[in-house]
Amino acid sequence: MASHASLDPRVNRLPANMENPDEKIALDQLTTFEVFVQPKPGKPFQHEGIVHASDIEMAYLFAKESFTRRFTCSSLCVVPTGQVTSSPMTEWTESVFDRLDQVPSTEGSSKTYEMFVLTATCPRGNDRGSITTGGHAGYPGTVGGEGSSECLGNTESGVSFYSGK
Amino acid sequence: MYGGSSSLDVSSADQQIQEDPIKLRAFEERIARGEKIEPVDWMPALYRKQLIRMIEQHAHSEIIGALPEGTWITRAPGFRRKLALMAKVQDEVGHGQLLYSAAETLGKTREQMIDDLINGRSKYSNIFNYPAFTWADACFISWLVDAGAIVNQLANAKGSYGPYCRALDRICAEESFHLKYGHHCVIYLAAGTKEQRRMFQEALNRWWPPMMHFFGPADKISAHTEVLMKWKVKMATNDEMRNQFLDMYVPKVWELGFTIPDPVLKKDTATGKWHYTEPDWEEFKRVINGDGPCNKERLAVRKIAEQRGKWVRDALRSRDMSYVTPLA
Repeated sequence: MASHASLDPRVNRLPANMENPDEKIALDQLTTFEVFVQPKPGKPFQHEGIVHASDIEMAYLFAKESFTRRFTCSSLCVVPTGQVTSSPMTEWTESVFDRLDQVPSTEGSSKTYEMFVLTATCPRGNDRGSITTGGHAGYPGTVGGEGSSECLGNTESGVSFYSGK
Repeated sequence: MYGGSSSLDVSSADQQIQEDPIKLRAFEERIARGEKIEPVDWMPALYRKQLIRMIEQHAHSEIIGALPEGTWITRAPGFRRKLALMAKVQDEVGHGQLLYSAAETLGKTREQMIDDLINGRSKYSNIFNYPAFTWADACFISWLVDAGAIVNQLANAKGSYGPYCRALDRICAEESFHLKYGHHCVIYLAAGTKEQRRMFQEALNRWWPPMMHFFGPADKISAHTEVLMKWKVKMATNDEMRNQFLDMYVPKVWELGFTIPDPVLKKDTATGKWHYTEPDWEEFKRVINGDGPCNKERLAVRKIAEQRGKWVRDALRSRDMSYVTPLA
C-alpha cells in the first residue's frame, strides 16, 4: 500500500503536516457522575460506574447509552461524584458506626439522602433506602450497620430519577 | 476488542519488596480467597501501575479498533450489514468509555490517558496497525479478532480488580453478539460465489500472522509474569490463550472449507496443544514500536478528532467544575 493513499477516507482529507495537539488541560474531559441502576422494580439500586459529562442532563444521556443500551432497567439515577460522601472501608475489622466522627457534616436545612452499603458479598453499593436529617450527612450504622462501607448521595442536589418501562 | 498484554513490563520485582509485608500478605490472602480489590482498598504500587497500564491499553484498543471497521460502514454490503456494523462500532467505542472509567478509579485521569495515546506514549492492540483492504477483512475482524478478544476478556473478567471485572462482564455480553454477527458474515461469504470465497481466503491469509501475534509474545520470550498471575492481574499466559483460541476457532475455519496459511498447524491430541509455525516476533516488535502499515494513520485520525472536538469541550467546561476521583 502506498503511504499517501489510505483506505480510510478521513485520512486522505487530513492536512499533510498535522501538528501534535496540545497537552490536555485539567477538566478537558469534564467532570464525573456516578451511575446507579435499578435492574427491576422493587430491586435495590446498584452502582454501575461513572460517566464524564458537563451537567446532569448530559450525564443522564451518557449513562443511558453506556449502561442501559443492552440491558434493560426499571430506573436509572445519576449523581455528581463530588456530591457523594463515603465512609472509609473497614475491611471487616471494625464497625462503620465507630467511624461516625470521620464522616464530614454539613450545615443547612433538612435534606433527604440516599444511602448505599458496600459489603463483601455485594461489592457494588446497594441502595438501602433514604433518610432525612437536619443537615448532617447521615448516621452510619442506623440503616446498613452490617456493611463494610457506606456512602450517601444527596437526593436534593442533583440526583435525577427515571421511572421507565 | 483487545489483544493480550503484549507490552506488560515487569521491570522491577524490587518494588514489591518495599511494600509493607503485613498489608501485602493480607492483600494476597484476599486475592487467594477470590475476593475483589476495590479502588479504596490498599494495593501494592506495582499492582496499581500494571492495572492502569493494562486497562488503559485495553481502552485505547477499543477506540483505535473501531477505526479499521468504521471505514467499512459506508461500504458495507446492504442496509442490514450497515446497521449491524454501525451498532457494533458504537459498542466498541462504548467499551472504551467503560474501560477508561475503570482505569480512572486507580488514579490516572482520562486527560492523561488520552494525551499518552495521541502522543504515542501508550500502546494499543498491535493488530489494528494493519489495513482492512476489503469487506472480507472487516468480516475477519468481526469474527476472529473479536473471538480472540473474547478469549482474552473472559479470562481477565475473573481477575482481582473489581471495577475492571465489572466492565468486562458487560463488555463480554456485547462481544458475544459481535461474534455471532461476524460468524454470520463469514458464513455468508463461504456459502457464496467463488469470488466471495476467494475474497475471504485472501483476507484470512493477510490476517493470520497478526492474529497469531494477537495474544502477545511466546511465553519463553515474554516478561516474567509470575507475580501478575499470583495477583490475578493476568489470568493465563500468552501461549495458553493462543492455544485456547486455536482450539476453539481453527476447526470452525476448516469447517467452512478455508485454508489456514500455516503448513504445520496441527493439534497434538495427546497433549491438547497446537503446533504452529513460530510467529515472527521481530515483525511484531517493529510494528508495535511504530513501524507498521497503519500506525501513523490510526493516530492521525484520533488526533484530528481531538482537534476538531476541542471547541465543544471548551464550551462545555464551566468555571465551577471540579474533579474528584470516581468511587468505583
